[in-house]
Amino acid sequence: MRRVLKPTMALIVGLLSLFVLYLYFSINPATSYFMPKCMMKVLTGYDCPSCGIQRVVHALLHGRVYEAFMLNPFLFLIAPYLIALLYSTYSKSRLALAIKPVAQHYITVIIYLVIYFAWWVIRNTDWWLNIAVAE
Amino acid sequence: MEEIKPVEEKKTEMVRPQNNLAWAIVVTALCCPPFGVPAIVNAARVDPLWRDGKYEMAQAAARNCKKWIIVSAITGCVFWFLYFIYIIFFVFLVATL
Repeated sequence: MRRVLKPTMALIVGLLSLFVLYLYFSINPATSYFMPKCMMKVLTGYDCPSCGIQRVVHALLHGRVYEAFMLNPFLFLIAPYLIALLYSTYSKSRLALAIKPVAQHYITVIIYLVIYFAWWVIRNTDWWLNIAVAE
Repeated sequence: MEEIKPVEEKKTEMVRPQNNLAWAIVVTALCCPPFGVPAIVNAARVDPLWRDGKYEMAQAAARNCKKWIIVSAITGCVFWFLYFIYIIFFVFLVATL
């Protein structure tokens, strides 16, 4: 049972993620009503630190790397960190054991939170909005 | 011997709790920041507490972290669902006018 279940699950997850990638390629999340919206943005009107993730994926799938970076540089900063975290949590390899004490150290987390809140403020200032519009 | 035994048992019962820091960060980024931040803070406290020998507190922090991750994920999903229904209703309304 388990031998059949695992590949089937992997296949389903793979197909679903391909479908999601196709959706983000064909639909522009900035103009579509049906794409999920950020709760904080809908409620407060301000961008949250990770707002723009769907537009970033859309722009990247169309090969517009600079536009994607200008939409949300914070995401490009945390993507490698998140990969390191997931890898060090679920892998038992020597590299994972070497990364773990650094990536999951509380000082790293404090730095992450400081950057997170600083970016939350900065991205809603006129200064950043002007840069982002001009890009 | 008999006095040592329960102490040993208690020590082996304790399992080092998993700090779900990665999922706390995912949930903060994708679902709901106000409930994701306590998850991150609790996740960061797990390992230092465990190292200091405060095993119960470490496990409590891990439980709290998991709780906030679930709360944040559910809040996000419920919001998206309600928003989706609202949009469908809106489109339906516009179509009938």
